[in-house]
Amino acid sequence: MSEPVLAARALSKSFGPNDVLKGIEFEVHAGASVALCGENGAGKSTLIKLLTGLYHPTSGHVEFNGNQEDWSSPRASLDAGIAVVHQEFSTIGALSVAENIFLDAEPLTRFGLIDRKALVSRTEALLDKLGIHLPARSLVDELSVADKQMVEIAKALRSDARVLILDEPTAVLSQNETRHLFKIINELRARGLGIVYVSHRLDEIFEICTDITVIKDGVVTSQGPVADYSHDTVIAAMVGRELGNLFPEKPHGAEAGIPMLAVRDLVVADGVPPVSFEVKAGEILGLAGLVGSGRTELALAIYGAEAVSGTVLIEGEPLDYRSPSNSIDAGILMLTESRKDDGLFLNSSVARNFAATTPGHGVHPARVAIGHEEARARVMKDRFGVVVDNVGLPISALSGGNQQKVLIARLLENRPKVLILDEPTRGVDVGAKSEIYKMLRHLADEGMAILAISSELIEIVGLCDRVFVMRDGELAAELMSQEISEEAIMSVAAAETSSHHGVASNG
Amino acid sequence: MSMIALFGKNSGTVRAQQNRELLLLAGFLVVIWAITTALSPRFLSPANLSDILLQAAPLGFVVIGQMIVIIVRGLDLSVASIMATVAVLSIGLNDNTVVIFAVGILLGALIGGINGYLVAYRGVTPFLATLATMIVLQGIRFAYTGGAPGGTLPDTFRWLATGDLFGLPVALILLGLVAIAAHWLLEHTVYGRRLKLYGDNPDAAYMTGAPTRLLVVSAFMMSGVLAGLAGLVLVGYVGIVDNWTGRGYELDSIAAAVIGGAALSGGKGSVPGVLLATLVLVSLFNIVVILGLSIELQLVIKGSLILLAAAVYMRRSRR
Repeated sequence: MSEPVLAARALSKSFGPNDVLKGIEFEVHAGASVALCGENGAGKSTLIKLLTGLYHPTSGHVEFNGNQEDWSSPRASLDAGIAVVHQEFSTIGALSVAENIFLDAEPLTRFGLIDRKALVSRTEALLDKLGIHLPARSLVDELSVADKQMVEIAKALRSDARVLILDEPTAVLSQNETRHLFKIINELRARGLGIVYVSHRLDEIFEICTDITVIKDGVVTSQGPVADYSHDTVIAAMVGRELGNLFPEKPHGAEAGIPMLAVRDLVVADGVPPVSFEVKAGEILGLAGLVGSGRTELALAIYGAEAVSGTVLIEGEPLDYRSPSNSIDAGILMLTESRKDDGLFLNSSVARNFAATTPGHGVHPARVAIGHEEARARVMKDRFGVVVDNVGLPISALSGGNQQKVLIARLLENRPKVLILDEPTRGVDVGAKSEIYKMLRHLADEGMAILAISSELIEIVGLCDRVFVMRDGELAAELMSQEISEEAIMSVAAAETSSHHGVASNG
Repeated sequence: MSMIALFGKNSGTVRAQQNRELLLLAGFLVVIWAITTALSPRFLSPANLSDILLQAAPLGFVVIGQMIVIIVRGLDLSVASIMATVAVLSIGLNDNTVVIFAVGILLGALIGGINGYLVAYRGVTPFLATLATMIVLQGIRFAYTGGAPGGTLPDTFRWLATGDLFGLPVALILLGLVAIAAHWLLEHTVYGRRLKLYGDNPDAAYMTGAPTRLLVVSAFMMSGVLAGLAGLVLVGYVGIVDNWTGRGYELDSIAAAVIGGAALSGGKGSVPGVLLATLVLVSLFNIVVILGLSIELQLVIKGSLILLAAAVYMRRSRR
C-alpha cells in the first residue's frame, strides 16, 4: 500500500500525571476515510489536536506526506493541507458566505482594500468545485444549520487540503442533509483527499468509512478495514473494560418506593412527541443518549428553566407556574451541565457559593447572620470532604472535583425530594467520582429520587437502577436492571433514525 | 506595603482581598491630604473640610445608587438627569419640604423603575436604556420650565443641605443614614446576597432560584431614588433650582464607584469603598482650587485616577 498522507507514530500525550494518549499508531491514506471511534474521554479530540498542532506530543510524532512534522500552530498544519471542521461552528453570522470562507485570507486590490469581485468569483469557483450550491453573497445568519456546515467545509478546503478531519459532522444535521454531506465526502475522497471521520453514529461509519480505528482510555484497541467489523465488534472494542468497584453496590431486588417525580406529556421542542415518565423514591434513573439527543433540554424543562407545555408532579401534586425558584420550593434541585456557565459564582467565596440557594437558612427568611454562611460551609466541608483551607477563599481556587462537591452539597441544603444531575462528574478525577457515586447512592437509599444524565456510559451502567436512552428528543428505549449495558445503550443511541428534528446541540 | 505586595497575587479570602483594597484607598486619601496640607495649611481648616464634606454629600448618594446598579452588571447614565428633573418638578409643584421629598423619592423610583424594566424585561442594554431616559427627562424638564426654572426653596430646605444638627452638617447625617441602610442591605440581607451573586453570574443566580428580573429592576429603582435625593440636597446646597443641576454627576459617580472597588463586570462593590472614593474625588477637586492650579487640571487628575484604579483592579483579577 502507498505511503499514508497523515500518520501518528507512537504518539503519546500527558497532562501532568495523566496519560491521555499512549503510543497511538494511526494512518490516513489518500482516498481513504478513517472512522475514529471511542467513548467520550477516550482521547479522540486530543488525538485530533495533536494531529493539527493545537497540542504538542509528549513523545512520538506526527507524519505528513512522509515527513516528520512538529506543527508550530494549527495555522501551520492548515497551511500544509490539514483541514478541520469542528463540531462547534466558527462562522460569523453577520458576514456573507464569501466573507466567511475567505476570512483572514481575503483577496486585496492594489490599494489594500478587499477585492469584492475577486472574493465572490473565487468563492463561486470553490463552491462549484466542491459541488456545494450556495449563493456567495448571502448572509450566513440566513442559512440553515446544514448550509452553515457547508460553509465550514468550504472554508476548510479553500486552500488545497490533503486531509479533511470532520468532528461529529452530522450531530446537527437532518437525514437529507446528512445524505448531501456524504455525497460531498465521497466526491472529495474520489479526488484523493484523506478523510478522518469522528462520529458516535455507527450506521454512518459503516456507510461512509473505509477503515476504523477504535480508541479506548488513550490506547488503540482495534484497527482495520471496515469490512472486518460489525456493530457489535466496534462497540465491544469501545467499551470493553472492567467496572471494578468504582461504583457502590446497587440494591438487589429491593422494591423502589412511591413515585416521587412524575412527568406528563412534556413537550420539550416543536415536532418532538411528548414525554411522560416517573421516578420513584430511592431510585436512580439514568438518561443516556448522544450529545444533542435532548437530555439536557428535558432536564431543564422539568426544572422549569425553559418554557414548555406539559405537567410536572411531585408526590402526585402538579406544580403550577414553572420556574427554577418554584421547583426549588417544591423540592426539585438541579445540578447543571456546565459548572462554570451556570453553576458557580467564580468571584465569590466557597461559603457564599454553598449558601447561594439558601443564604438566610434557618435563621431568618430575609436576613443573613454574620458568619453564618461560613459556619455552615465549614460543617459542609468536613461532611463532604471538600479540600480547602478556608471557606472564605474564592471558589475558583478549588479543583474541579471539590467545586462539584460544593455544588452537590448546595443542592442538599434545600432538602430535595428530587435531584436532577446533568453530568455529575464532568471534569472530576476518578477519586472524587467514586465519592460522588457513593454519595448519590446514599441519598437514594434515604428516599430521594435521582435523575442522572451522563455521556459516560460506564457511569450510567454502574450507577443507575433504570435507564432511558434518548434519541432525537424522544425516550427511545427503557432498560431495566439486568438489561443495562453499554452495548445495549449504544445500539439504541447510535441507531440511525427514521426522523430528525434538529434538537439543539448542547445536549 | 507597596502596591505590588498588596495586589501582586490573587491570594487570601475574598473578604481579606476587599479589606486590602479598602485600606489602600484610605491610605491614598491620607497621602493626598498630607501632601496638600504640607503645601497649603489652609486645606485642613475646619471651613475647608466642611466644604469638602458638603460637596461630597450629594455625590455620595448618587455613588451608592450607581454602585448598586453596577453590582448587577448595569450602568446608570441618567442619574444627573434624574437629579435635575426631580429637583425642578418636585420643587416647582410644591413648597412644603416634606411633600417635596415625598414627590422626589416617588419620581426617582418611577424613573429608575422604567430604566430597570427596559433592561430586565425588554433586554435593552443599560447604557442605551439610561442614555435614552437621560435625554427624554431633559426634554420633559425643559418643556416644563420653558427653559427658566422657578419655584422658591423653603428655609427648611436650605437647612437640610447646609445646616448643622448636633454640630454635624445635616446633609452628611442624611448620607450617613442612607449609607448604613445600604450597607446593611448589601451585606446582611438575603436580598443583598442575591444582588451580588446575580452580578457574579446571572445564569447561575437564575438556576439557584433568584428572582433575577426583579433584582435588576430594584437596583435601578434604588439608583433613581438616591439620585432624586441627591438632586434635592444639591439644590439646597447651591440655593437655586437649575435645569442642569447635577451636570457631570453621571460620570463622576461611575468614576467614584469604580475607584471604590465596584467592578463593571458585576458582583462587586461596597458602601465604605465607594464613599471613600467619593471623598478622594471631591478632595482632589478641592485641592486643585486650594493650590491655585488651573481648573482644567481637575479633569486630567480625575482621568488619571480612573486609569490608576483600573490598573490596580485589573492586576488583581487577572489569573
